[in-house]
Amino acid sequence: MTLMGQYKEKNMTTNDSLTLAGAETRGQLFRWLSTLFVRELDQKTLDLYHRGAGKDFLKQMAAIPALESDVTALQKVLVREDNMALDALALASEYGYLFLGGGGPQSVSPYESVYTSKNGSMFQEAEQQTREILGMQGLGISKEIREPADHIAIQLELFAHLDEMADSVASTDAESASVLKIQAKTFLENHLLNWVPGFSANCLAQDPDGFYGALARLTVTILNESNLYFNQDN
Amino acid sequence: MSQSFEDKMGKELSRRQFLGGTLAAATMALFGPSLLTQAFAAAEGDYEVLSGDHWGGLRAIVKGGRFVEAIPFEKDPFPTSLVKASSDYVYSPSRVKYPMVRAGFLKNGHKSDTSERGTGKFVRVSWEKATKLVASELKRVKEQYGVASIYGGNPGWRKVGKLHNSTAGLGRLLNLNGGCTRGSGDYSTGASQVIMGHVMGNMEVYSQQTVWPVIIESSDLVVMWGSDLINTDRMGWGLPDHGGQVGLEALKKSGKKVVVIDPLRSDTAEYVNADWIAPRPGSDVAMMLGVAHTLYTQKLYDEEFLDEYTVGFDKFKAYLTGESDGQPKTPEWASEICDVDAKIIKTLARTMAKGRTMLMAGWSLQRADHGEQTHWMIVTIASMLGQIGLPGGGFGLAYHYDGAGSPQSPMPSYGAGLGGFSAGSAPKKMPPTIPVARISDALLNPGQKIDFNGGTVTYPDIKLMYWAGGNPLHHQQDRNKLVKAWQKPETIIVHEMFWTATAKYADIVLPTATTFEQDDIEGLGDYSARFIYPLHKVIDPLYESKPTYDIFAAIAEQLGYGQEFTEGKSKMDWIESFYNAAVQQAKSKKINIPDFKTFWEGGSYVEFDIPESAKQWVRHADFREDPLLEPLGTASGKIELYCKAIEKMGYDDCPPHASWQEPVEWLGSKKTAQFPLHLLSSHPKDRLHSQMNNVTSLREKYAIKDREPIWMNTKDAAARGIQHGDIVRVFNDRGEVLAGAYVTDRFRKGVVRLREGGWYDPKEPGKIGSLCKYGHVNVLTIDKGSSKLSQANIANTALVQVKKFTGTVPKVTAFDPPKGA
Repeated sequence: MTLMGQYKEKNMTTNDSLTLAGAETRGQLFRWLSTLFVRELDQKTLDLYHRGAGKDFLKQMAAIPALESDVTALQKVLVREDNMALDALALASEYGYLFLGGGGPQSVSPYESVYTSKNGSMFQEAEQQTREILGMQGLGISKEIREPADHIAIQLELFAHLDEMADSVASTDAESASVLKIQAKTFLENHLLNWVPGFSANCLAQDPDGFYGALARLTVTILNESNLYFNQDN
Repeated sequence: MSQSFEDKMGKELSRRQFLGGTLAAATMALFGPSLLTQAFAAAEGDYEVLSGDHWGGLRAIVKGGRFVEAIPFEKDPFPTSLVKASSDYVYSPSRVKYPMVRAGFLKNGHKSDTSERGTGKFVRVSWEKATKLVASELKRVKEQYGVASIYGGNPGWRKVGKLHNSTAGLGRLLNLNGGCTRGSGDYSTGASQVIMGHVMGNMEVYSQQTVWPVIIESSDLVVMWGSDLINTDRMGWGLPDHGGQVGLEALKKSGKKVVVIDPLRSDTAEYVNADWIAPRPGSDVAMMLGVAHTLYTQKLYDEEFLDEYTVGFDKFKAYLTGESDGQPKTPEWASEICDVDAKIIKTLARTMAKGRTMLMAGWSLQRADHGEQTHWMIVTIASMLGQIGLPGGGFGLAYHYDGAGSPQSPMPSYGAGLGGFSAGSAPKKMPPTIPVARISDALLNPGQKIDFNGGTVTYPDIKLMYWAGGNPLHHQQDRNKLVKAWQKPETIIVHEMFWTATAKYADIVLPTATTFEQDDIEGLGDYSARFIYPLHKVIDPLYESKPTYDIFAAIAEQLGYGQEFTEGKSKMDWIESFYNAAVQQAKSKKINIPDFKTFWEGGSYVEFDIPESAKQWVRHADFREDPLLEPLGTASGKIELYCKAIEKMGYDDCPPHASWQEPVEWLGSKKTAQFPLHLLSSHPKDRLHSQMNNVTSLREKYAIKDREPIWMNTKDAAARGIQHGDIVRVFNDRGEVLAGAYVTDRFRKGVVRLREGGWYDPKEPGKIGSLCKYGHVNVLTIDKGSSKLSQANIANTALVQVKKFTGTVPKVTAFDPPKGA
């Protein structure tokens, strides 16, 4: 079954449109976004987006009406003028410029604390809160990831985890499911939706025609849509 | 909730497999591994440790594994604003987090297009890759061009600590690699340290001063010439004890007469309620000559002292009276140049001669065209007054610096006897040095010969630059010239904690940990030698940053010098050996201090008593007592008011006695028609040079509309329609910056100040001649040697124009990434 197939099966609504209802669907998308934000894409993966599984994956995603225009924009930036796949080195330098500080004042910080703390510092309350939520799930950050807990990629995966966990125990442990659902909802509202729109606006300002600008816009759309359907689901 | 993590992940996997079919398997490749893992109980304690940096010793409070607060060292009488900001500094979003290589360099290596530097196109690489790249470049350039083509960048205010000392680390690495070209001198005292070697036989600028208690006891008058102690004493080369401010407070309480000579009524002048004389910047030597002329003509000078302790007064006298050049240096003549009433000059001279007078001169005076002359003239006046070596009299060139003048414990200055990591011996064929501030010229004109302190320097063909613990794209004058020069080398390697301009303009950037993320040891009170202070690691290095020592050791290992670099010692072995050196020193002085284990694990510091005798110490007293047995280190053994060695050099811009030389730009220049304001670039208050300009909590204390403030006189502002708080353009024929207007009557008319250390923030990164949006002063300063003698920087010699900014203000500049919209 393809991603689209999954949507078709589970999420057909009366007017035949695909939506972000369902924790599994959301989880897939959040984990996918997390992958794209946590590190640079290698050439092999970029080629997949050009003419491989990635291309199909995006095509399926574009079939979700709410995401269509953002995904189409992303598809466009993934192909160069000469119809080749994006160059991994060039894209990695965009990543370095935007998210690793190379652009200096033009960089875009991918950490919640920078957006929500008084002095715009790292490792502030938001980081601590995210770490606490991870801790409550018995989770920590993988040793290879030398990033604070409020990095966008970690927060996206954490939401997917909470959302999916709630769903997976719903039929067997209603009480736990309900606690998890509240945690997921609170995390989405108080954390991701609290700063990612600002982050996305900065990405678009710095990289209006590039991959990361388009990805950031799509991320906000997915967050908003998820919020909508998460509330409906629950 | 009962579901285990493994079960969950297992289900995850089966769910993805459930997507089924070839397409789904391929889709899996689009997902990376999970970032999360099952966590064990994390050891994130709450604890407190001692650490510190150039801005003060501190107690770091850690809660939940985070450095949440820094409390100033309880024995610091004047803690700085920077201490409190230490955790903001560590957690600044502008940290360099990973090893980074410029995209073009990663692709094309040393044959890359170097005009890409500064554009921010960096790619993350692994430490392994970065280490190999650095090692292979050092090897390549050495083999292809020789080690003279490797420039071991002089560091400046590297991090404190006896182990993670980047000067020593870089020095040892490059010495092991066969040597390199290095810079000589520094940006602080470049002119004075050379001329004082000839005049006093000692650099004087870093020497212990007649101690403050003696000043309080014996001086009648303190003259502070171009010195703003209350601001500059805030920082220490090691950890500061702020002894200069202790002295200044005592001076204030004593009610003694203090005269401050400065175009600005400085914070120091305000604090001690000084008499304020505001000459034109750069005209000090003329004013001093007016003082000397009064002393001479009114017979207020000490002939006996001049005879016994100095040489060449007769030749200087011929110049002073006009006998040698037809121009008597009368107060009236001086007044025309310095714009201070001749009567004030005469009164100043008479007041100096009336009692015991201490002349405290700052370094700002000599960071100027012909800067050598100012301090030489201070020594000349002090010699005429004849009080050098007497309690409370003479001159001091370091009172404003790092607690100089604090009574000293029996331990040695700068580290209280601690050992330290060293560069080791330089190889036999070490290439000659170049004057440090001539780096742009050297890069632009390889092979060119210049005069320097009686010798000739040939600029090497620099192909690789390696900088650790310094920010040349901050401290070098004339930014646009340097940006052009910066495109010349094939390879630029930088160790940095933050994305400074120097990091942005590099090819390989290695992320270093801050002082607070590594164990080390340091003295507290460089001149008082009063404390040994532990620098305990507060938190683990963030991101993939590494301690300085580890980085150099890994590169040395890659080059095959690992054993020579580390000598087989661990970091703790080194720190213990440094401490044990102090234990030995102390023992020889019959002082017992705890053993290393007790000291380190006890979490406290060591304090040495200051003996009463130290509170009586007078500089040059021994020379005065017996000039034959205790001669100065000069050619004559005496103070050289006329210097034959300099005479032999025959430099047109540095005559053999102190003399008035017109600066290349000043308020007396024709150039004022176009650029009518004199620009000064004094030290900042709430940062250390450029360090911490990126810390928002501090920048909010001084920035105006998020730009560096430019102080200007009320009348100058009114004439330009500028109001306090306006954004203004500051420009000359070298460049342009934006700044925020700070309008005040504390500045004399015609003078403006943009403090050094504001980060270079070009509107068009990488482009030569770009507007700087923040207010980096070295876009406007001149890159020229002070004279052939010292070839020092002349940062305080520059003319500019200021205009109100109209039009659309370029997007607000931030150091850290912008906040959420």
